[in-house]
Amino acid sequence: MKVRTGRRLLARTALAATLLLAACGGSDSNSSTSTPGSVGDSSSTGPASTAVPVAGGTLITAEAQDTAEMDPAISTFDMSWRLQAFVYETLVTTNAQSELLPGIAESWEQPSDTSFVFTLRPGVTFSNGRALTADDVVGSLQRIIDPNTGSYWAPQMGPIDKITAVDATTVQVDLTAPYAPFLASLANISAAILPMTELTDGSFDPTTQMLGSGPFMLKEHLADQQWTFERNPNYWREGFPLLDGVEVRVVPDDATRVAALRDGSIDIGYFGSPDAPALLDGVADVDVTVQRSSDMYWLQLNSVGPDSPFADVRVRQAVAYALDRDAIITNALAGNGEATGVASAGLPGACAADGLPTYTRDVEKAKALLAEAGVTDLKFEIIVPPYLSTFSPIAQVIQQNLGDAGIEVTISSPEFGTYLQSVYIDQPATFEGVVDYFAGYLDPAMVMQFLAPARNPVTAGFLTESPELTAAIDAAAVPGSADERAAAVAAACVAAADFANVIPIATKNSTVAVRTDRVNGTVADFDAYDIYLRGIETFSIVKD
Amino acid sequence: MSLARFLVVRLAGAIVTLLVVSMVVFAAIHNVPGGYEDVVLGPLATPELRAQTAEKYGLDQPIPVQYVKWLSAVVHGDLGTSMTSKTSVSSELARRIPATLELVLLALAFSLLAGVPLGIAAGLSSDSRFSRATSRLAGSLTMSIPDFVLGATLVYLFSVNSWWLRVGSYVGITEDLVGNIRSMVLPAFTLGLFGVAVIMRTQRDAIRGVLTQTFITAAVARGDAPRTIIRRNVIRNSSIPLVTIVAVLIGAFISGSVIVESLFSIPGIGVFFLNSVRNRDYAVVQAAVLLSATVFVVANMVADALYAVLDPRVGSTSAARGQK
Repeated sequence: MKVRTGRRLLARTALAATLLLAACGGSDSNSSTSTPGSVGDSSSTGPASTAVPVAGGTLITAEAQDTAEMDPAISTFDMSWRLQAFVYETLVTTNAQSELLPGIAESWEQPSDTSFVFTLRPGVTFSNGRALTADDVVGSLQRIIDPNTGSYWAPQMGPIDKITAVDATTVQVDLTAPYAPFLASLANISAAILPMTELTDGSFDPTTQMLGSGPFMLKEHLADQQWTFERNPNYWREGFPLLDGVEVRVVPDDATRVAALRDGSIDIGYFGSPDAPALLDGVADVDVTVQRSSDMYWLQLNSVGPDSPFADVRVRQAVAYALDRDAIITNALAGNGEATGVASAGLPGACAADGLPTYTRDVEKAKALLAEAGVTDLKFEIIVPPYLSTFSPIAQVIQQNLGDAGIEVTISSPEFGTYLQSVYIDQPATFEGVVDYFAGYLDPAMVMQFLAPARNPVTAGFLTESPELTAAIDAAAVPGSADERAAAVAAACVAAADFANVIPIATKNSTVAVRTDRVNGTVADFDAYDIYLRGIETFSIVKD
Repeated sequence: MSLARFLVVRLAGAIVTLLVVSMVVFAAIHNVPGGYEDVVLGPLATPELRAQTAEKYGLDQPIPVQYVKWLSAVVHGDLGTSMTSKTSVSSELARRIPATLELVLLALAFSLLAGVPLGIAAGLSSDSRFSRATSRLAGSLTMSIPDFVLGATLVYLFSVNSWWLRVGSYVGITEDLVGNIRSMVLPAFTLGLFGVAVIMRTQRDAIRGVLTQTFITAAVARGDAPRTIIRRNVIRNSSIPLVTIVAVLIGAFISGSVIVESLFSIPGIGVFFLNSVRNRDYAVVQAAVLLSATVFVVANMVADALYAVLDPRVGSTSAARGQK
C-alpha cells in the first residue's frame, strides 16, 4: 500500500485514454484546459503498472452511508453530491487547484461587476436525447432561488436580481450587488442544470429520478444497498465515459470495506474515518489517497436559546480559549486535519488559523472571562450527531479541554431526526452545543455566509446576529484583487473568531483507497465540493 | 382445556399483542422529534414547503386518524408505500426477507447443532470437569460478548487477513452457493454464538431436572437400556424448555440481525429498518416492526403447539393428570 498526501493520479490514464480515443477514431474537440475532468489537465503521477486500460466494464465503489436525497437543489449531504455528480452537470466546474473551469457553459463574460453572460457548450444533451438549452439553465437556477424550493444553496448564490435567456445558447445573470463567490457557487452540484421541460410537464420528478447531461444515468437504487449507474450514450464528450457503468455499494463498516478491497469485490473504497490509512496499511494492490477538502469540524454554541449562558460573548470566548486544537487533531483525528478559521484552510485565499483571536489556548484567560461574566459552574451538553464516527472523539477531547477551565461538559448522541430537530429545525434551537461539520465550499467567503443568521434560516435558530460580523462577511464577498480579497477574508475570520458563536476547529479529510490492479483514474488530493471521483468519465477498468 | 380452544385463546392473544405493538410503535415513531418532512427537506426548507410535504403524505392529520387509515390498509393487505424509495413496502421487504431469513435460520441452526450436543453432554456428566468447563465457556465467553464486539472483531480479523471466509461482500444464495456460504458463515456465527450458550445451558439444566424424575427411576428399575432411557425419556422430556428458548431466540436473532447485517453489509431487513427509522419512513418502520412482531408471536404460538405435542398435559385436562 502507498499512502499519498499529494495530488494523485494513476498516471497512465492520460496516455492510455488518449490512445484509446485515437484508436476509436474519435477526438476530443475541447482543449484540455477547457474540458472538465480532462485527462490532459492532470499533472499527477501514480504507480507504475503494466496494465492496459480498456473501454467498458463496471467500476465498483463503496461508501459508508446511503442517502435518500436525489434533488440536487435540496441535497445537503456530500454523499448525495457525489452520486448526483455522476448524472448531473453544472455551468461551471472546478478541479484540485480550486480553479473555475468551463462546464456546461463553454465560456462566460462579465460585462460588469454584477452581470455574467454564459455561452452554453454546443452539443450538450440530456440523457434522454433532448438538447440542453438556455431555458433549462434559467429554469434550474430560478428553481434554486425560488423560496418555495427551499434550497439551502440559494443564499450561497448571492443577491441574484434576474436570470435571462438571451438566446438558445446564451444566459445572462444579473446581481443586485457585486458578489465574488457567484461563479464558485455555480460549480457545486447543488446548482446542477435540470431538464426543466420534463420537470415542468411532470414527466420528471427530481426527488425520485435522475435525468441529467452527465456521463452516467441512474439505472437503479436499492435503498441501503446499492446505486447502479450506466453509461449515458448521449454524453456530449465524444468517446467518454470509458466505463459501461458504476456501482456504488453501501458498506457501513470501515473494516468491512477494507475486507472488500482486499478480496477484490470492490475497486474503490471511500473512508471518512481519519484512522482509515492505518486500517489500509498492508493491503496489497491498493493505492491510498488522503483527500483534503474544504470541510471543517465546528463547535456550534446556541446563543439564542432561552437563558443561554452563551448569549454572553465572554462565555463563548471562554469556551474557545479553553480549546486545544492540537490535542483534538492529534488525538481525535489521528493527525489528519489542520486548524482552520471560518474560511477553510484548504482553500486558496483562506485566512491563517495562527494568530486568530481566541485560537491560542489560554485556560487562565478562559477562567477570567467566565469570572468577568459572572458565570460559575458552567455546565452544558454537547450533541454528537450520529452520522460521523469522528464527532465522538472530538467531543471527548473538548470535554477534557473545557474541564481544565472548570467547564463541565456532558456528551449525548441523539438519533438523526432528533439531532436535526434540536439543532436546525427548532426556532430557537433546543441544543446547547454541537460538534458538526460544514463543507467550506469553493470560495473562502462562501460558508461564512451561514454566520449571518438574519438571512440564513439554517443557523438562525442558534446564532446571534452581529452587525460587525455580518459587515465583515459581506466585505469578504466583495470582488477585488487576490490581496484585497485575502485581507477581507482574514478580517472576517478575525470577526468570526472573536464572536465565537461558531468555533471552527479543524479541516476534515477523507481517504480514498483504489485497487491499482483494477482501476485507471484520477483521485485528486483536494476537492472543495467532496466529489472524490471528479472526472469519473475518464476512469477505466484495467485488464492485464 | 381442549387443544383447539387453547390455540384459539393463544391466537386471540397474539392478535391483541400485535395491535398493541403496532399502536405503541406508531405513536412512538410519529412523536419523536424530527418528522419525515424535516429529514427529507433538510434544515432550509420553508414552513410552507414542510406543510405541503406533510399534507402530501397525510402527515398533517391527527395520529389516531393516521393509525386507523394505516391499520385499515394493512388489514386489506396493503403495507403502504415507502416515502423514501417511493416503491411499495411489500416489495421492499420481499427483496430483503431472504437475506434476513437465511441469517436467522443459519444462526439458529448453528445454535442448535452446537448447543444441543454440548448441553446433553454437560447434563449427562453432571459435576464433571467437562460440565464445569462448558458452563464456564457459556457464561464467561459466549453469553457476555455482545454481537457488535464479536462481529467487529471478526470483521477486523478477516479484513486484515486474506482468509477464505468473506466479509463485506454478500452473495445471494441463488447467485452462488459457495459464495453465499463464504459470506454468511461469520455473520451466522456472530449472531448464533449467544444462542449456543443459551441452548447449552437450557438443555443441560433440563436434563439434570429430568434425571431426578421418578419415571427415570422407574425406567432404570425396569431394566431399560441406558441409551433407550436417554433417547426416549431424557431427551424428549428435556426438549420442552428448549422449544420455548428457540422461540425466544428467534426474536433475539431478529433484533440482533440489525447490528450483524450492518456490520457485515448484508442487505436484509435489519439495516433497512434502521435507516427507515432515521429517514422517518413511517410505513416501512411500521411494516418491519409488524413483521418482526408477527414472526415472534408465531414462533411462540408454534412453541405452544409443540408443547401440546411433546407434553400431553398441555391441551388436555384429562391428560394433565396422566402419566409421562
